[in-house]
Amino acid sequence: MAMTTDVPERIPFWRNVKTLGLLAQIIFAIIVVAAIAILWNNVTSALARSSLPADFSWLGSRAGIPIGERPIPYTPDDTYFRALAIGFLNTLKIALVGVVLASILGVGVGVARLSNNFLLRQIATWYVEILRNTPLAVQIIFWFTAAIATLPPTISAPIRLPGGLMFSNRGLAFPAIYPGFGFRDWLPWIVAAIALYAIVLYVRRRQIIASERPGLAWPAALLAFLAVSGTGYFVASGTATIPEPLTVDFTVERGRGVTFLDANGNGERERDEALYGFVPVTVRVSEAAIETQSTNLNEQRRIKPSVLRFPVLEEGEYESFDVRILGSADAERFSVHWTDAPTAGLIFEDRNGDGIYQEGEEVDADGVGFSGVRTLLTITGFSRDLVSDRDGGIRIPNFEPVGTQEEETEEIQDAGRSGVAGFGPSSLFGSPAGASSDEEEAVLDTTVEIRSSGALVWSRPSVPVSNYEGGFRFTASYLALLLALVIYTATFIAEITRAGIMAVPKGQTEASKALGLSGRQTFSLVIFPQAVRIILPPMISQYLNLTKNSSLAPLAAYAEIFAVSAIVANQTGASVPVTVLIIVSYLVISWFFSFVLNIVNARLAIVER
Amino acid sequence: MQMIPDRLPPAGERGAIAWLRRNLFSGTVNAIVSIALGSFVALSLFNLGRWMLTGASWQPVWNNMKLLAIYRYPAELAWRPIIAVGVLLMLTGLTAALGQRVGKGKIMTGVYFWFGSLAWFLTLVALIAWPSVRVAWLLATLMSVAGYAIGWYVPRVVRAQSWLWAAGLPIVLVLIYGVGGSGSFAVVGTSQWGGFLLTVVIAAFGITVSFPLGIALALGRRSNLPAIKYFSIGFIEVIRGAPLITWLFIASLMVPLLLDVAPDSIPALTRALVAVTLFSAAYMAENVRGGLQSVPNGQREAARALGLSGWQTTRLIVLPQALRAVIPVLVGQAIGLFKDTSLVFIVGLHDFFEIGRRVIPSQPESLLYPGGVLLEISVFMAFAYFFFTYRMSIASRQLEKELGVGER
Amino acid sequence: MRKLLAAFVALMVLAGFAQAQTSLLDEIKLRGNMTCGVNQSLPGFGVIDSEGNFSGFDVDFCKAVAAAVLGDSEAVTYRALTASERFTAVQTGEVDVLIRNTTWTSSRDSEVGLNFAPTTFYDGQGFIVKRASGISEVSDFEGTSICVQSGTTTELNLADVMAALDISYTPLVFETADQVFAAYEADQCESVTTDMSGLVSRSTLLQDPAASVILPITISKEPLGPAVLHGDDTWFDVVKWVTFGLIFAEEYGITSDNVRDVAASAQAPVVRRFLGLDGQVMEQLGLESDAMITMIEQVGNYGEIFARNLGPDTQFGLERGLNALYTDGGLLYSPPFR
Ligand SMILES: N[C@@H](CCC(=O)N[C@@H](CS)C(=O)NCC(=O)O)C(=O)O
Repeated sequence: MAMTTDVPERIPFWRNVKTLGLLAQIIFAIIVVAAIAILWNNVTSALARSSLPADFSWLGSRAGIPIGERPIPYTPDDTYFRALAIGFLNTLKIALVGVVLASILGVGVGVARLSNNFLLRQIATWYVEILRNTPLAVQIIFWFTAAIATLPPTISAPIRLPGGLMFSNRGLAFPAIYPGFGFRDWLPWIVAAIALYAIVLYVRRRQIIASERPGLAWPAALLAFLAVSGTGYFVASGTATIPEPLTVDFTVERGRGVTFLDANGNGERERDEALYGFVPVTVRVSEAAIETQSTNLNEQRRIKPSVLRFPVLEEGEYESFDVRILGSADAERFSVHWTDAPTAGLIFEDRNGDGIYQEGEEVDADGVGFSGVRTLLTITGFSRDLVSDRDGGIRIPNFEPVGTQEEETEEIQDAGRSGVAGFGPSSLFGSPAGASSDEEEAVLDTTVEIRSSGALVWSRPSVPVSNYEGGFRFTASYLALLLALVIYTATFIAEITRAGIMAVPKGQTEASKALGLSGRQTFSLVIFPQAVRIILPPMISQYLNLTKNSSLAPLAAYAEIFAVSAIVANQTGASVPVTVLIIVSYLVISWFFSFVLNIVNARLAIVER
Repeated sequence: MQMIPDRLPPAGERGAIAWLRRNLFSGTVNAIVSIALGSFVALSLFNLGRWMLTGASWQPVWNNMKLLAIYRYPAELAWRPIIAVGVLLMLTGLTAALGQRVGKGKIMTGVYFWFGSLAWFLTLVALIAWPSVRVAWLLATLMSVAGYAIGWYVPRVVRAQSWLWAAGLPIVLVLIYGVGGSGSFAVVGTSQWGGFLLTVVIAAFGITVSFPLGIALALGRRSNLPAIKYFSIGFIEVIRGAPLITWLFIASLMVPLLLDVAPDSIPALTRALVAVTLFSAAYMAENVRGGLQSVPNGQREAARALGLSGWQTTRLIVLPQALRAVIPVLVGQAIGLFKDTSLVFIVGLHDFFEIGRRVIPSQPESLLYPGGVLLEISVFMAFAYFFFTYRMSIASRQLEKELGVGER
Repeated sequence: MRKLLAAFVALMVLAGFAQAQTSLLDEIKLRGNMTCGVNQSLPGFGVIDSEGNFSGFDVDFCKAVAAAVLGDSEAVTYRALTASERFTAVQTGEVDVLIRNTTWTSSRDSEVGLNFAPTTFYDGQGFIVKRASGISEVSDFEGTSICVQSGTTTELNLADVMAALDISYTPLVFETADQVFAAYEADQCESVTTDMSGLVSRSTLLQDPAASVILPITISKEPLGPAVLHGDDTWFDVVKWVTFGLIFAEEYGITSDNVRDVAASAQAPVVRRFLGLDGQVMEQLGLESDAMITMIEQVGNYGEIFARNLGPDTQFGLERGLNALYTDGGLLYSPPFR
């Protein structure tokens, strides 16, 4: 812009644009600084008057809040810092998976919107229209409610899919591979294999170029990689030994144990002894007796048999089991029938005495089933192989040894247990306080042994009590939130994809058709690669949106950074520091995405030339 | 060159069968996709329909219509928001009809009939089932029809149109808030507001106020005065960096501390409005900036050459073009804001979403339904939000066409 | 925008200076209306009906305060609060008094800056489980999931107890009571833990109440009572003595039905002072002399409030238990009005 004006003498300062600009800036700056100073002063004086924490020292103190969703080990005894870190990790956990799934779904729907199949096009269009125009909060509520309401509860019957997959309203669990004892020995092999891959790739490329014949370089490289890493796997697995001080601290009554490094060798875990995750363990119980109480699920209107349940076992894990009714009077009238082998059974009045349950036999004269009938399940030769969890924990079905409890009263609600020692008053609302019974310790004959393992171990999920253990698990909250985020974000990605594809000049299609490419080839080799350049930048900002939208997690009871922060702020009163932490966390995430965006833009610019 | 006369397509390429063949069954893959998708969609729709008609319990939703609409707004004053709806529809109808007479106003007409039909439907429902608001709804319907009729038959009002809008909006505010005393126009404090009323109030306020704020920030960001520029950049980037829910949370925790004012001076609604508006302004600024960037530099240079001052150039030349370019985007943002109002439960407001999510499900009557009623409520809420946002997104597309954005 | 900001800041500063040191009591009288923070999701204690009206035990205490202060139990603006909102609402003065099953703890007194009026409901944290689960004591929770609501003392107590007893369980922390109980009904967790009162309130509204049982275990003390903001002794005194007044009335058998008769015929000096017939007790608190008469006439005494909302004739059928008068083996006890 070339504007040359004759500057007459001197411009008075109040008409000089530069001075005015400077003045405006100074005034503006003063106002901003003053405003900030006033606000700051307000906050500090308000904080000084109250006793709310104003610094970050509380980060190091005991959090005491329960968190169910923990990618790294956590107990309420850990610090607030760790609790918040878990929140941050959970944000990443949902964002990363969400971004991948939303991209796949979104691009698919975007392409489908341009399909020449009428139905597909319409469905894709309406999917985008409806879900994009509905608040995400409503969608989260919907999916979460629907998931809880429609999926079966774990304890009774999770949906079991082939391959050890389990699905229930407590989430999804599937087998997973974790590093074993030999993993460390295997690592150098992998490094070597990667190096070899690079070398072979390089050499083959040169060969192909030299030979002037078409060929692919990567198959040979991959072969070399597999050969070396495979050999390494077997070598490392063969030589893997169990680390010396590794022990299991296992209590039979709870069916729970931890694997840990027993520094002092006393076999019991001290607080400072580190837990050790992903250790294969075999638990054997030569004979176990579980006492169960059949319970009455009856209502006056509906008639249901008295069902009794106990932990899910799988076939092959025990040699035999038998069930017996406790109490001589009952034993004569009743019999037990097992529905599944052996997770649930029902107690019925065996009218014809054949011990086999027939239609109509289970109900007594009142139309009410039998409650409070006690049974004893004896399992012989139980054995289960497990892999300890991330926090070193292992668990088998809770075998409560049968002691001298038989004299106790039957009805659970009459047991009249006193308040948990030291925690609360013994009784409220006039319910009678009874003395706690002294149970006789019955020791089960158990052996727990750490098995050796190769470079990798295979962990299969199971349901020892009523939650998944082992394998890899996604909670229902996580899945519902993920589903909502993916479905919602995909609508925007679909629009971006569609716009991107449409922005590729029509001539490109025509030209490639003219070259004889098929419709599919045209799309995947000509149109889409060009569209990606247009699609990618707005797509990355959708990724950021997805990440930020994951802050709606409290609606689905998922503990990401915002949810944890809100709880921490509420329980500590440290609103100012927590506020700072939340903003910083999200700014870090945002900046990460803009960093990626810049890189992508730069690369695309080079391609564009 | 000789023209080939028009001919009909061959018989095999016309008619329903041909259409089916072309659009659904061209090739094996397509046929499989069509059949699989078709049966999947049919099954899903069937199941959904069956659930909605037989499985779902809509009674709690129906019983709580008042809560969902206006929450604790006094029942005997419920006619005021209804008449406010009437006023708005009247004005919309007026504008729509006036536009139609001169062959324009397609968008306004669409909006008018869309929301008008909702009002007429509600009037019908009121006539049957809501005796207390019967008269008010009838009146609102009359007003809406009258507005359209006046616009159609008295085209002269076109000159008064902007004045009517300017008068109508304060009337709406007065109707909703009240003027004083304890009679028909008693003040209804914002703590009594809720439901869809509150959702609309927050969205409307947020969009209106964030618009000038956003423009100011966008201009500030492009300013060559560093203090203003960096302030704008900092503000925009920090606000956009964190999600709205956190700003609402911060508003609820920090505003009292930041202002250190006496108790009772900042109602929850104010806190929500501040957070929503500032948040929306930051996004508005970025959208407007996009528009500003799309205005070619030559425009600016030409304006300066004509002797316009910097401010005049911006105000008269650059901004109008920039805003025109981003109107569809801004409508998109309005839709987003409308949806985002569902988060104001964080500051403790009882908007439409919060009433559906928390208040209704915990009423003893609702708890008696197996599995609760949250599923029904969320479907209902989704539909209600969709009814509004969908119409807005249609309008945005129409605007895009009308303004020829992106075609230039 | 700049101007606006400046004006805003200036305004706020002025507002800050202009604030004189008056008690909420005077302000409320001036307003003719009192704001009360209550629960919205706990039938029996605080819930909103489809007309938007609140009802429940806690709500009646709001009414009692309003009746005593303003002479009209309906002069209350209710503010429905969630567990995590409630303290901010008091701190920012959004509510004049918080009566929302809030546990009196030392840190809420000191750190949060509340003043608690006498306990209106002695409670403790308990567990509800399905009978079919066979769970009968805390150690049975090993390996199970427990649902709990965030922003409460409940979640902290749960964590503490389980850590102390070294029980490994999975906490499911929800935002609302509805979610908590919906998850429990769907067997997503084996148990819900919260105040016994909350359990009783919600358990009667479960799909199949008979299938669940509230364990006779309490793991904490949860004295629930009204709370006001620190630093306004005049207002605090009013809320405190109104609460005592309700208990006092029950101690002396004064009910909504007989309060006028008692006032006409009362001989005992304690009662005459209480009802404002002798002395200046009520005036000293800043209330009308007949404040207690109005209050009891409009809302009833403690026993009536309890019976109306929670007692044996309601669906909750709660026993008085610890919440009986001290003469009946409970903990309720009013200091003398003199
Ligand atoms: N007394 C406890 C807990 C009070 C509480 O919030 N209880 C829950 C569970 S019953 C509740 O009332 N929730 C109702 C809601 O979600 O609004 C406290 O003061 O922290």
